[in-house]
Amino acid sequence: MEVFEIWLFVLSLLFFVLGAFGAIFFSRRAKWANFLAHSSALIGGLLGAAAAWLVLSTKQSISVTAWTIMSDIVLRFRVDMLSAFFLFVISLLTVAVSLYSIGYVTEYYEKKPVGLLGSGFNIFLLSMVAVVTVDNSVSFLIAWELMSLISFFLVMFEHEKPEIRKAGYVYVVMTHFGTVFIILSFLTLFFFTNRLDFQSFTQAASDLPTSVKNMIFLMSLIGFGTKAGIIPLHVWLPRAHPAAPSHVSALMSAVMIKTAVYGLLRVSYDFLGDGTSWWGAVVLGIGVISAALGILFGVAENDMKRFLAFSSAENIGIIFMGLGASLLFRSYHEPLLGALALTALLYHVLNHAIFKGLLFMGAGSVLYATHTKNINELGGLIRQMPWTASLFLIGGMSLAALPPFNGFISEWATFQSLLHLSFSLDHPVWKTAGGLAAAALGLTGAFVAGSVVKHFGTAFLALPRTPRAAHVKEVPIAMRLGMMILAFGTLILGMWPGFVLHMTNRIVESYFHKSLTGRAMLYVPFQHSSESISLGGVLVILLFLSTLILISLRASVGKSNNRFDETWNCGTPILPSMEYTGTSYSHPVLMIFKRLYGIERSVDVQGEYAYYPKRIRHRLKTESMIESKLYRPLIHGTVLLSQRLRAIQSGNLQSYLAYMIITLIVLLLWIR
Amino acid sequence: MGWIIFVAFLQTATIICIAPFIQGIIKKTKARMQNRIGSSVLQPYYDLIKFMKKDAVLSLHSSWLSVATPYIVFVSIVTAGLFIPTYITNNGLSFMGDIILVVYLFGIARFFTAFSALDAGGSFGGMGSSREIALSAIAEPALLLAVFAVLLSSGTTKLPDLIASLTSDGWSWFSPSYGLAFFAMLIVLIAETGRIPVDNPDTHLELTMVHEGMLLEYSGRYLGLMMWAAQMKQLLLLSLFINLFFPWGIAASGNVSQIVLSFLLYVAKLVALGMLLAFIETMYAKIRLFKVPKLLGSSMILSLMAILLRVFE
Repeated sequence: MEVFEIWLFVLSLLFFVLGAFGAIFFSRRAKWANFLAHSSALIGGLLGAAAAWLVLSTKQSISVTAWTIMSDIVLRFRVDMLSAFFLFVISLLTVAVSLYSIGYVTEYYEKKPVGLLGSGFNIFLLSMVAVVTVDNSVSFLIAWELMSLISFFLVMFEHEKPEIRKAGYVYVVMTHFGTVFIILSFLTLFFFTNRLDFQSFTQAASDLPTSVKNMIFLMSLIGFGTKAGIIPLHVWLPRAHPAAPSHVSALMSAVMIKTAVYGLLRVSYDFLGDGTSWWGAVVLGIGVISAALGILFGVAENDMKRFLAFSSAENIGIIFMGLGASLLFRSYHEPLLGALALTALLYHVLNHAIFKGLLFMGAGSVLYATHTKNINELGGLIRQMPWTASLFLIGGMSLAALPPFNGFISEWATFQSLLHLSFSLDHPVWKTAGGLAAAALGLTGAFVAGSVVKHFGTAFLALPRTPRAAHVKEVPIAMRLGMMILAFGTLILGMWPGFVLHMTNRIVESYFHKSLTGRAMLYVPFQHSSESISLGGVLVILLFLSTLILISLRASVGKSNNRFDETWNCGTPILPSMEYTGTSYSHPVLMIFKRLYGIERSVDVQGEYAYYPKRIRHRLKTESMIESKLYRPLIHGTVLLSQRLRAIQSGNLQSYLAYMIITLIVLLLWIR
Repeated sequence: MGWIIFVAFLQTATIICIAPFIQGIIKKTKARMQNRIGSSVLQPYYDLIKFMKKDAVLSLHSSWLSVATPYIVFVSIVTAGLFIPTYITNNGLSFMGDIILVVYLFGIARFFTAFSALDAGGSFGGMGSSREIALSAIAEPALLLAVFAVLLSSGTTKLPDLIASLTSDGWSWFSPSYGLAFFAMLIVLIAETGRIPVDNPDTHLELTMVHEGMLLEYSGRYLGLMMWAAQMKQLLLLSLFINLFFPWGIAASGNVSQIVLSFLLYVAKLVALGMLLAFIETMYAKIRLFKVPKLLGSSMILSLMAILLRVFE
């Protein structure tokens, strides 16, 4: 039986390899390259999902040794429960995004090397699968680096645009900043355990002294946190995700940043074992900040993909809230609550992957049809693009955690975890912090809903603001199908938590020896009471009541007689320029939180008299405090330091020889 | 099972039927306090019946969302009503959801109302929608904190369990944290029902309006449904307030006479609270839009103090 799963897994990897080489091989024929690359990725995704599902169902880990480089450095894939869950998430998204890409990539025919794009897409998938399945720190770092580099190349795909080049460089710098810390934490582990493979880490690391554990935890938090996009390490995220081609940004936002969550779970749960309670507090704090600030920055955006990228930072914040709560419960030995919080975070990982993938694909469809991401140039797309509009709306509702979609259920579980921090832990700090964190989550939820309304409402509703929004066509069927798979997923995962619990319980059981129950509802059995939620039941009520109201209105007063007329506009005909724009929509929020944004606003009135202006130019620029107060001084400092250091770079051969000799002497003294 | 369905139906019918009555009471009280005679208490019913029969005018630029929204809003508010105890503690549906679900069901209504305001393309709708989003984003954590300050004593998010524990603990008004939570919740109640000093439910075409601005393009049956939904939301928030702070007399079992008594008490409490709201509305002027976050901020501070008092008790 296990052999079968191994074969499925290996075949899925081979299909990615086939896609990578095949696309290069056919790079002369864009159509073939596109089809081959994405259909083999699709098959690879299906096989990978099947393998992950079987591993989780049979509770049997699988492992394949591909290459023994040295006795301790082995390229071995080992799919245990945690890996299998993340493998499932990656594979599921692969299926939908590959299907979508078949349509989306036609955009680049005869403009860009489609073969290279397809090949990069497959290598990217391969590297992500490798990151979550290899079980050796060296091969992990190689896979991690491959993932970072290939995603950098994909971000730079449209490198002829200067802003994309800039985004790419910010990304590559930040991602390596993170990698340094990951390497450091693995080196520390190696230093204390003398081994490189994960299983030895698991066995040996729990006995490490607390100070070492703390160091490892903090370094991996910074390292993986950078990749996850926690605030204030998020600066690459809103730059790189919009710059990449949309199907790649869907993968980056939905899946790539989740590999960081995987890494953090691996380190904090598998390697380090029990920790001190402040770990949880730190992670919870980071989560609250990332969630609230992430969406506050997101509300102000008018670029659809930038908004979605900020919202990824926000959702990582929610995931971190769950992680923080679960670490806290673990340190206080509350297994059931720990299980609840861990389930909440894993559930949200899957949910966020699904709805964010859907939304990025939706934004990509808008980009495909109109060639702009700026919502102030759009409007009225719902008439020509009804499918994209409805699918984007479903994704948006799920993002805003509205029932009956899946976003709600994981946010509910996170709410419960946070509230039970105060209900169950007998410590005044956690009692207060739990409530405040829950309120912050409420704030986040309301702002997410607001920004979804802003983006959907401005781009899809009302009148088209520019000609490019007026003459659009619905996107090809492959793109719609890709989005539909995920839209269906948002509904199913909301209705049927049992499907997700089937997977997450395997992981939760191994760390807490407790699990949640439920098929059509999520059920948390406490000793005296219980908490439960059933969105299926809510949907039944909603549908029943809708039918009842429609029928009773129809029966009592008949069908509504609708006439259509011009929108009321104080008696004048309405023009697209009179509509509320995205900028004006979020203006009240900007004014309320203006301290956070650092707003630069200028109104330039042209004309003879100020009261009868010929032209008004209004400019509003926001720059987040984090960038101006944290990064700017850091960059200046680094530049200054390097200028000082330039003194030793004299270009004189003799002095370089002197440096070498001095270094040699120092080293000889050192190892003496 | 039969009992659950019966109670759920009873509750739904009550919410739908008495919401306009409470609106009428508030309007009448306001009129009397302003030395006017005012329209009949039943006027909101006549209005709704009139709206249901009228033809509707829709904007040429609007999409299917404008037609679907009134139904979605109406239904999601009624559904939220099933999870808020009114005059029977437990209607047997609490396994499906809790206070968080209620908040997010209100969220659906707000989300779609904000959409429909943008759908026609007019500036008034956009303005109302944009303000609603900005204010509600601050009202939501305030609501959660205020409810949480009360929840902390019972340790569950299920409202029936909470009400049961509140009634069994008896009169806990001597606890200062309860009093602070009361005022915090009162501020949220005013903000969420869209009343003065936060929003003015009686204005049209003023630069101050929030909720009414969003309904500007609606007419006929659609306007009727939206107004009815707003009245029900008001009723539900009042019920939540009543049962968090004055739960006495709420029927716990299926005894018919007890239910009737509880129902009468519930209506009396609603009328009293509605009069209080009308009183506040008459005494205050509407505050500037950008002062509202400060008002809600003070509610959050009150809740926080209530929580701290409870924690360190």
